[in-house]
Amino acid sequence: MICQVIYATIKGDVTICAAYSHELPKYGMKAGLTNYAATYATGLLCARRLLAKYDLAETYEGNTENLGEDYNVEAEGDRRPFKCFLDTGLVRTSTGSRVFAALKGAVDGGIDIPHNDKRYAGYDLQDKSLDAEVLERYIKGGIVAEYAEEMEEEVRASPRPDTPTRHPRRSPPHFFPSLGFRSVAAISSVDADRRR
Amino acid sequence: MPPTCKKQEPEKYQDHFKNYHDQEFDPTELEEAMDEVFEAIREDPTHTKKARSKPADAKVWKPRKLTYDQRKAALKAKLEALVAA
Repeated sequence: MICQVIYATIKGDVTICAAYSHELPKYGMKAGLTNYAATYATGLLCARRLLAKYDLAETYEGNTENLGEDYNVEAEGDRRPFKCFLDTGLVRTSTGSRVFAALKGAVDGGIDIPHNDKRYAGYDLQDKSLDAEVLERYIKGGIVAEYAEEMEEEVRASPRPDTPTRHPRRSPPHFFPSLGFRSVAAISSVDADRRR
Repeated sequence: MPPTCKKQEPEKYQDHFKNYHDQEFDPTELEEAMDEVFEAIREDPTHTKKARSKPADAKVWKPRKLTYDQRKAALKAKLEALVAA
């Protein structure tokens, strides 16, 4: 995952600022660098880096509380907020897509990007409302943690791998005497009825 | 659940979160750890450039062309060797 702030010239595009998700281990995120949380963090990193470059970091702190809520930067002090637009490129812009996690990260980082909450994870297309709790859980990697917990539970519940378990194909055929006799008896009685 | 699936389950968990386990990080604690990540990013977002080491001398497989003077000298040496023989 890469986040960049770019402007175009006739000669070619100029990248002002870039952030990569492979930088995140430096900030304490060890693994899972392609998930929703990592994408958000990359967007945030890009925004903070950009604002630090233009000495706006102190004026525009961005959003640090209620990460699940939608946030818009408001002008403070003498200088207007840095404004840029989201360019998703070839990414499919469906609801819950990770590009919008990067957008949310950048917006929370204090960059002014025109947007709405329609494509964030946790947005209900039927109700047309954003579930802030769900979005916050996604942003903080709660879904990953939950899945890990779930799988761990399953491991604990299932038998240990080193206990010998019989191969299902080699186990002798199960014989259900009562069932077998009953069906045989039933067939023979039907036969007997026909013969009569 | 069929018995074969259940048997594979423990390895699946280990495989699925392998990168976390390699870093000795418990993935179930990710949610708590992310707050610190965001704080760390806000504290120092600047990028430090790595010092680049110069690449080693490029290998050459094709024999380099000799200059005119070098060829002249080589011919002279060859002729001298012939005369001496």
